[in-house]
Amino acid sequence: MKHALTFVGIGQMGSGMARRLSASGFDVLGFDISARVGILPRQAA
Amino acid sequence: MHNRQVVLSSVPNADTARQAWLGPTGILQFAQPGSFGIELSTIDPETMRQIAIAAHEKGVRMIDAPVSGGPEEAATGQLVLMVGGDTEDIAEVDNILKALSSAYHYTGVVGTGKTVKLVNNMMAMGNILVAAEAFALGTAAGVEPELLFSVLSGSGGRSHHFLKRFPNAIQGNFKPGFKLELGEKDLALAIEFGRTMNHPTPAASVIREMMAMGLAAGYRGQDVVAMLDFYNKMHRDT
Repeated sequence: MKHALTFVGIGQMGSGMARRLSASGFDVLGFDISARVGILPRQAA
Repeated sequence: MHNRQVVLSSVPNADTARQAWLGPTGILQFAQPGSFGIELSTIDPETMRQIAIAAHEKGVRMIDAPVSGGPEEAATGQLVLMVGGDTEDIAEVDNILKALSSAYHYTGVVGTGKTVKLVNNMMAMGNILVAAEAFALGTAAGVEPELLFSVLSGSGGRSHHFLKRFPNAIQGNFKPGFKLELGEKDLALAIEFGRTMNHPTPAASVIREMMAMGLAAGYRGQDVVAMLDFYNKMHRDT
């Protein structure tokens, strides 16, 4: 079964992993962290 | 986020991991019971266990899965994963772990993945620093860098990171890769972990201090192999 994924922390490593999961057929939603405002939505990887 | 079943996190340090999972607007505030968490960062085992305990209280099944490999391996699914957690939980996300990795290794309960990762990075950072120091001595004594690399790459002193990073380094290319400040951070984590275990790590302490000197000398943001340049520039002909 394929899962729907949320990926938190799409920096140098995370963006690559999120893209890889997306290319592998998973539905991936990417988020990045800001120290001031918690979790911010960002363009899905 | 309410309809998502698996949340993965990859963040630079333990404070950010804590905030991402446990903070007032963190993942566990929104995650549904029965969902999965996969924590991929290089952080200390104790922080991982605290996140897993909090997740368990919310009905979230937490997997400890730090990675070995760089951005290129991340993007191509060629990472090596060290995976700690409940074996039934791990089996449920097997397809995700396999998509990320060329191989994933079961290490035991939650926290053991982070332990193995810290041990690996202690060794990797040590290999790089010792190689930088020794290589700089060889070139200072007049051996051509390309020749020195060529011979050493087939000799007993070589390591994975020597083979991977020094071809760039001898061209003066220190683009990260793996940033020097992350190497210093991982050594600090390993040293602190050793302290909690009453286990001495004197070589890691020296290597961390050398990397701290590299950072103070202006190599922040560059690849950890920039320590070669630090050593080269320390040298003065008498």
